[in-house]
Amino acid sequence: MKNLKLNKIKLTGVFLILFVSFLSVSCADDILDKKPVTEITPDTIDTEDGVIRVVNAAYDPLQWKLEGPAETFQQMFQSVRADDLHSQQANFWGNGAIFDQFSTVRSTNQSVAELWRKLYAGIGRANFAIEITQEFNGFITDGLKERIIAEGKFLRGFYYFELVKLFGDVPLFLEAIRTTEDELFKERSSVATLYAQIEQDLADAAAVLPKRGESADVWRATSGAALGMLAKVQLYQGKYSETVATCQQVMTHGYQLEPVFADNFELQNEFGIESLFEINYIDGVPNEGSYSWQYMFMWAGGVYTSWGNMIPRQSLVNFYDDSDQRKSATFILPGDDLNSPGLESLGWSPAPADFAFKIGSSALNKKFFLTFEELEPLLAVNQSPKNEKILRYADVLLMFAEASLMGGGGDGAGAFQKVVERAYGPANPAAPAYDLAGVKAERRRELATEGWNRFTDLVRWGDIQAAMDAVGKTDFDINRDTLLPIPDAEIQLSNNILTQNPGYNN
Amino acid sequence: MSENWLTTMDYVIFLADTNKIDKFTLIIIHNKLTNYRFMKNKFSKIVFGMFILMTSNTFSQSVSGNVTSNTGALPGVSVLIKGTTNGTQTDFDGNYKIDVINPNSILVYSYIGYKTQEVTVAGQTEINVILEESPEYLGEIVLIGYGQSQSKRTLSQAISTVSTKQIEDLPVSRVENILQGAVPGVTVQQNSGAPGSSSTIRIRGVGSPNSSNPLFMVDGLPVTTLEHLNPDDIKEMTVLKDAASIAVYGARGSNGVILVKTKSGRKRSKAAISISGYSGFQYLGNKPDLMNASEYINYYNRGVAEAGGNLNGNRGAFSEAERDALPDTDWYDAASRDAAMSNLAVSLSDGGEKYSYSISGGIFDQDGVFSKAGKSNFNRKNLRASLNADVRENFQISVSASVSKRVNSYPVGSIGSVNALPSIYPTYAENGEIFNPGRQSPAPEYNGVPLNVMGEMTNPLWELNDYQGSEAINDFINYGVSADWQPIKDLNIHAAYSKFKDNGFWRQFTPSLGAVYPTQDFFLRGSYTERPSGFANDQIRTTAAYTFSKLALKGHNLDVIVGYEVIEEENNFGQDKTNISDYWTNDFNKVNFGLAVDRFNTVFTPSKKTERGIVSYIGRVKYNFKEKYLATGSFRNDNSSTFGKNFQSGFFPSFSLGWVLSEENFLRDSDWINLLKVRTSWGISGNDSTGAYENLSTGDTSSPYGNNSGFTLVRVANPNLKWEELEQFNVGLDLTAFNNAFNLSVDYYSKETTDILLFGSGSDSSGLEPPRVNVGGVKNTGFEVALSYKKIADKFSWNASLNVGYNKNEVTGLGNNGQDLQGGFTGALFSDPITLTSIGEPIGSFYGYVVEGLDVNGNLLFKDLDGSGNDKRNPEATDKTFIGKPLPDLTAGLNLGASFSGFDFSAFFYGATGNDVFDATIRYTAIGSNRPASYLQEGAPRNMAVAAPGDSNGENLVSDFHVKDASFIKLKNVVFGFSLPESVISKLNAEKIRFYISGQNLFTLTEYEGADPEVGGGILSSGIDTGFYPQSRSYLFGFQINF
Repeated sequence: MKNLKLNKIKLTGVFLILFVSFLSVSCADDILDKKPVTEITPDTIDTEDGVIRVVNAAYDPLQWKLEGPAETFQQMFQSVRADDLHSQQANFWGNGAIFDQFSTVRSTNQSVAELWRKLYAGIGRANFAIEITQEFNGFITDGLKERIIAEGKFLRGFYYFELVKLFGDVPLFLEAIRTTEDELFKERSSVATLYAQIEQDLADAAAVLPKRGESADVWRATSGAALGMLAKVQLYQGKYSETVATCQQVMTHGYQLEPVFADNFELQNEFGIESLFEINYIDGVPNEGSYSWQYMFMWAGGVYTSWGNMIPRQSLVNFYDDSDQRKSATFILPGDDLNSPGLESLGWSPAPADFAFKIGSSALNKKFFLTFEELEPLLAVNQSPKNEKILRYADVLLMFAEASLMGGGGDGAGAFQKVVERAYGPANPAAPAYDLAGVKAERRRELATEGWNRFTDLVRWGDIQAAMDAVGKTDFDINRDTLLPIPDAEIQLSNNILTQNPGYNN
Repeated sequence: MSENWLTTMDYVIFLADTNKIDKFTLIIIHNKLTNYRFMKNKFSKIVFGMFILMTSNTFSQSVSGNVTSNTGALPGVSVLIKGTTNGTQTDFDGNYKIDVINPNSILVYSYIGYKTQEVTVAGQTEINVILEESPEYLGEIVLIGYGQSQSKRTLSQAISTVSTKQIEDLPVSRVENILQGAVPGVTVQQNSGAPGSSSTIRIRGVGSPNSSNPLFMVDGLPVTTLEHLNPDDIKEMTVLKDAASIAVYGARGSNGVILVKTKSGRKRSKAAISISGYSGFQYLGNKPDLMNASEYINYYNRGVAEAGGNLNGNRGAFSEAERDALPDTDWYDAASRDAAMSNLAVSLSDGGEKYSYSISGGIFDQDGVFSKAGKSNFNRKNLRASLNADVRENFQISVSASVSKRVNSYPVGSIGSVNALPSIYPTYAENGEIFNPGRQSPAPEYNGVPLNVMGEMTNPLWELNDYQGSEAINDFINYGVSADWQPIKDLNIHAAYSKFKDNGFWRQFTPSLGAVYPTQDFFLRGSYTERPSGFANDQIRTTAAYTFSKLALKGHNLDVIVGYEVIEEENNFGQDKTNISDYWTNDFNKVNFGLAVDRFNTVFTPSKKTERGIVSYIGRVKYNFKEKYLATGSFRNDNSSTFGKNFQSGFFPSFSLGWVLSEENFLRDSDWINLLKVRTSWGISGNDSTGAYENLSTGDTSSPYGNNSGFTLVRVANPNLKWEELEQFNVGLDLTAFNNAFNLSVDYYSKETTDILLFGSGSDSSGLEPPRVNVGGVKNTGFEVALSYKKIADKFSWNASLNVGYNKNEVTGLGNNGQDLQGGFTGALFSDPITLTSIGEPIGSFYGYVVEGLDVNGNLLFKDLDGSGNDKRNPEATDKTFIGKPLPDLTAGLNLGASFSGFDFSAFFYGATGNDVFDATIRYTAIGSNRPASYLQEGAPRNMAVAAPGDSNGENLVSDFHVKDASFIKLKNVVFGFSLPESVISKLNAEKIRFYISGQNLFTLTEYEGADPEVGGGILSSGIDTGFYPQSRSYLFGFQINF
């Protein structure tokens, strides 16, 4: 009996020893080797689909308008900062109001920092997509590898072009940063170097990407989009004959003007015949819509709860002839029928004949408008599914017309005529003549409020000072304000490897 | 089953320490010492040595027994044979055994805090002693972690305690609040006055821009929060402050350690039942002095007159008739109310020869002073039980478990609009609907008076009172089992397993308001969200502690402990479910996804889960010679999964020394000095409180583009991530004098955190979130003084204690390039960040422009500090400088207490100086928003009541105009109590019956004009008052009954 008990004790003892040694030895390893449970690492990408997802993420920053502490609407930098829009009907939107004036834009501005972050996030993701695609050996679909790389290059080119237009010289990263052991900061490259890289990327992309209609994913970059962007990059550099040649190439891709201008901005007509590239917004997935509707419209009641930001200047409205069909397609004006029973019941369709904002204008942006009925079923009313056009065929035609006038060759007049005729109808005396003033005026009218051109067009034309004088922006300083400041935090982080743009004082 | 289990417990297994796993040695010791085997390593030699020591004892006769007090068994009582150095100590259960040669020996039983007793052996073999508490007790037993305690007298570390007595009489709602003002060097700042809101605890300043939360250990188990605990269950709290006391907690102790000991039963005590409770009401104490309706109208009309006809679309001046027709809404009054608060706690404890147990439970309920009943409420129910049992004479087990449920309903609305909305706007419209000051068409109107549209400023009652509901439910489960075994005399081997779980469930609902209030034109879409979450940690711990009692007889008091500990954590951030659509109900209590009009509209955000593990080896040696020369040393090796493979291991040593001068001959016979001690300590502790996997480059699978899923890297990986380290030096002095009535403790400390784990040295140009890196340093230096005096007499006793902590915080390093950290982003309110953390400045200092005056039009003029000659209305970024700091220089707590034949009184004052508040309560961005009444006086900034959009008078810039001195003194608590006399309670068979009334936050002396100068916030955004829930004033009536 005693022996038995002793044995039992010994056995249990041995068991316990084994248990504890197991616990301490094997567990110690397990306990200290924790791998992400619900996240994945780049090593996890081992299918074609996985690689496609990497390039999809590089499109994502196109959508960003409010990701951090401040907004980055393209209109803030191109339209509010120029002579097209006021930041707001009243004075609640502090971040936007800063761009109404120039002296209030400082190097610590949060919207500028967010814009920088957004564009470099796009570049980093494009670089990562290009690298992952090159590293991945398991492609089975013909041409997929090349296509993904081309999409990456298109996006990289696009993001760098935005940076160059708004900031001038910026650091050029062509490799994805992954760890702290990579080079995190670089000196700013010159605009010329950047343009060379952008042209190279867009040309490479154009050579590989499918044409409009050749791909099932209408939202992906096409060779037409790449050429159209390339044309603009060339125009910005004053390379007029190259611009003409590139535009002529685009013209072989089957694009046409929408017969009715307003159809460009209809929810039912996304990726239409005139569209080269646009930001894809959808309903039904959180944060995949645009804030534009809620920021831009009036508070009418019900779900129609919007904030009245980015209001067209009355001078812009008055810049259109009443016979110009773009006027009613670009603005909501007093008395306009908005074709919405919901808005009608709220007294906003037709728009009140006497509506006038404190800022001194009576207009709203029609291009981003949603009817009450379009708004009502949305997952969230601040998430508009309406796509936003980045490049339209009309823009290409106007670039062609301008480059041709500037000595680039080609039939610029014909291209100009197409845009003008759609706007004013045939033989309308209100239509401008085909000269430089006419092209500039049409470029403003055609692309107004879309947010990609106005300020930087004025700068490249050398018209910025006059335009700012005309709207009474007396604090505009041409030696400083043609470019945005490099974010102050970035300069400090880089230990002054980055330098500031002139006039921003640090 | 049980017999089997017991026999297995005849063995104990513990692990010796080495760094490498393959060198692990298991030592098996049979309790009869008949069969033991040692492996070759240093530790086993030590243990072997202990046995030799033990087995060499041979004596002729033995006396055994136990020592108790009126509260149960007393461990650690010294039992000495008078006139010799032979003696022993009682064990955990008060048992002792001593060998005596002479049957006429006298045994001396002494224990700090108790009257010493002498008993002649006279042939007895069993002597049981009951020690009586001494009113003039000299010191106390202080917990030092890992199951160990030490008499305060022999302590050479900086440790403060809050005793049962202090806790018992304080009616507080949260455990952290016990510490406020009670311990020098500890600041407790309530982040909000909302019921159940958390507090920020800082021990000796802010050591890091990361979490500076101390480590909380409840009965030996690390927990993330103390909010599951009922303050009535707390026996005592111990704050470990210097490196010598915290280094044994290694990687997690760098911000200080708070040890919480809960009440448990005691062996050989009689059953004790205690019932206590209080009930009372609270109301809003302080309100800022904002304009009333008439003042606002005067202000507005003046603005209209100054505008010279250009009203920018705003309405014109108010007529006298209109003035009469408009309401005078005090938004603070409208949004607040008297609210109830009550607490009930019951406990039972009992102990027999071989066991003790306790069971306790409580219910606490507090309504918030803001918003309607039920919208702001905190409710906590908790139940706790523990059992200790002697399985064998030398083997004890203890089990404890507690469950706690916390339901916190809180209003979602910002209190900011309470400050912003002028008094002329009504709470409710004429038709009874809640008034919408932001309605744009038709514009708001009241009693026929047209009012300006107030844009972003919503009616605060909408969110606070009427509609939005939010609720967080947390179920906490905490249990543990431990065993202690003394295979030989003086050796205690301890093994424990414990678990802490916090299962959270959060939900929020905004119903469709437009359907309810059609004419007021509110945002319409309903939204309901649910999110479960969970946190759990498991801990396994083994320690072996040995006391060299043989040496003690020669005056060398030496003990050592070694241990091994494994902690595993799992954090589940839960799946977020949201459905934005209309609902068939507007009632928060009834809503669920089934009541959504479009049930299939629910959006799921996948849950995120992280795991973390720490494996640690600890050791500590305590030594003192005749309680005169004191020393401790500790080490800890931590290995954390948080870091990359090569950086997982950290070594954290510490040492302390002390000299009790009062034991020296020249002071020994002093009439007035009872204790005089100097002590010093040095050590290193660490911090691994970063997110999981931050050394890796993880990807985000939720970056879709439209319907197409996307994958992207989230942040820059840092394979070299390692521990944040804190090195601390402490020197202190303790003095007890005048018959132990007077106590003084002074400490000076200097602690520097290096290799701080920071985000922010990555660039936005990388396109990724910045990596976490080891950069920067923060230095805290300061001193602490604790002073107390008590006079105890039969009739009238009184006491006073004052503790003061001074701390200077300075950033000593930042980033690779020393780049500054920005913080305090207020969104639309101020476009610039408000704080900057910069080398040479206190962490999170306010950074902005300096106002030098006003121009003739009332625009703020800013100093041109960079001398660039710019327009003073439009300063440049380089004109900014440091304009204030949120951290106090000095915090102090003053306790006054007195008792007079059954009556007792206590008052507690708490104050701070040197702390500033950045007043961001005013909506400068909104035209026509309310202003403090002081704006009516001369010298106020230009009137903006009808300003043009984009116009500014400089108020909208971050400047010292908004920085206010927020030094304060608060009367936090006053208690008047009355205990029924002995003659009455003995008839009722009770031990104690006491009634009291208490008032809290009765007054605040401060120059700060906001609602409350105590403004919390994150480390880099602290002290920014954007309008928050102020602390309420309350009156409570309570009772305590002990049977």
